[in-house]
Amino acid sequence: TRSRCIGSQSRAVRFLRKTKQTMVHKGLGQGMAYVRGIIYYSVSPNELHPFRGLLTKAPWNALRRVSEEFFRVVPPFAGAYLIITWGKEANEKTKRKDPAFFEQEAAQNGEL
Amino acid sequence: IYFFNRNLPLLSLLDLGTPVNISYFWNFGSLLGLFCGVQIFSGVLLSMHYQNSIEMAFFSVNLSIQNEVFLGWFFHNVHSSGASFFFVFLYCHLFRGLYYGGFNQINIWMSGVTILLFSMALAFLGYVLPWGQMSFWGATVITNLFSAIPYVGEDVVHVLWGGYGVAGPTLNRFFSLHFLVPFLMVMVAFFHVFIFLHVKGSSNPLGGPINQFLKIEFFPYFVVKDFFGIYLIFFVFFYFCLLNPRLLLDSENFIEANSLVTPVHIQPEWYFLSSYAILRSIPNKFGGVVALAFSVLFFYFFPFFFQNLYNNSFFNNNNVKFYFWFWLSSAIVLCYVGASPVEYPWVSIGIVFTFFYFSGFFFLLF
Repeated sequence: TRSRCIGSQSRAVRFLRKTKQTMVHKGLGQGMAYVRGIIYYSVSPNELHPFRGLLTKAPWNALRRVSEEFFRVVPPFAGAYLIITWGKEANEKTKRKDPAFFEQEAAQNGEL
Repeated sequence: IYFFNRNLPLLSLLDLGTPVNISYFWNFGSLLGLFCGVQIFSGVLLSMHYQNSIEMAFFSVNLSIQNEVFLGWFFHNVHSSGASFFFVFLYCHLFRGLYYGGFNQINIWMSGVTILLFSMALAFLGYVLPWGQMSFWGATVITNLFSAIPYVGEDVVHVLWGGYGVAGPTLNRFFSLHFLVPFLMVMVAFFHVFIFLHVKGSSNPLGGPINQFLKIEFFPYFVVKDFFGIYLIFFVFFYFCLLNPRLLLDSENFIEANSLVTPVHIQPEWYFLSSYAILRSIPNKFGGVVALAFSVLFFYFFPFFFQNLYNNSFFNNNNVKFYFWFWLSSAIVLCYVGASPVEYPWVSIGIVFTFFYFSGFFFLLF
């Protein structure tokens, strides 16, 4: 049945119709005002090419992206590695006798 | 009704608009949610057999659960390895937010840092429960830090201990808190994800206005991507649970707690090592405690001081990028220093890198 023109309906009827639409919950994204100005993109499964350019373009792109960031990322970690390595050696040295202390003694004993 | 229908957690995971270009660094949120569930589930199972008295705690974990309870060894390994994995994901999630300017969304950032603090408290409380040597002495060291609070410090420590030293009452209350805090954390996480994040949706690696246009539904694309990430992580996780569960553990914690024998090297688990190094680097006790607290609490200040660094200038801001990696490498060096004894040259390196750790923050501030 055709409903009357919306302007002739009472305020109460208009409110009830709107509320009923909301409460019925026709489905996800249903029952609300049409929103303009949104662009919906979609991709068909036949248009998916996940490995296109993997061997021809991906390596060069990876090289470009790595080279752009290399001197920002690598120097701090290289410095950290060198400091930790030096620290381990310096700590080990404190637990060992220094051969230079005993050179004279070793020479006297004929060990050198 | 419309509001609740559209914003139920499950529905928001189906059709939430998510940026097209988010990378695998955006998988850590779902991994955190999953591992939170794993920890709670395994923890509840362990709590059915754990006995929280100082006479029985060690043997209930290392004898009863490990050897006698059906699959007790498995859930014990899951729980202990899961804690380490949780912190890996926590730090990756945090660093992702730092690098890509996630702190511009203040509610999400603040609730996230709160979750970090809850997790750290939770991990500390949980580590005490096996009542091994490192559990006891780690609890002694960390609870004694509160005595640095002026005027009320000693009283606060006695309230924490439930007595005049780490003993039975301490273990009892730590077990109660370790059971309670996860549920508080889940509540904050609920707000973090379903109240704050799902207003605008996820950020993206490019940042800025692109976020508002190029979006696709969460289901099925990012549900599949999250499951793929979970699938990959489970290979590594089950390696730790089944093949090498002791890799991240301290051998000292397999000796029952003895208040008369101090371990040679008292150190926390790996995820606390950088904060521990900062604590030890400051000669003054109160200063060390303040530095320790500030090393985590300064994340709260990021949205207020650094918003202008990321707005539409990410690609041009080389200083920010360099100091991020500089700060991260400083934190890694501090982790190594935290695990090392207090000897030459680790003392000096700790002081220098504590300065570097905080210098990035103050450099970017000014």
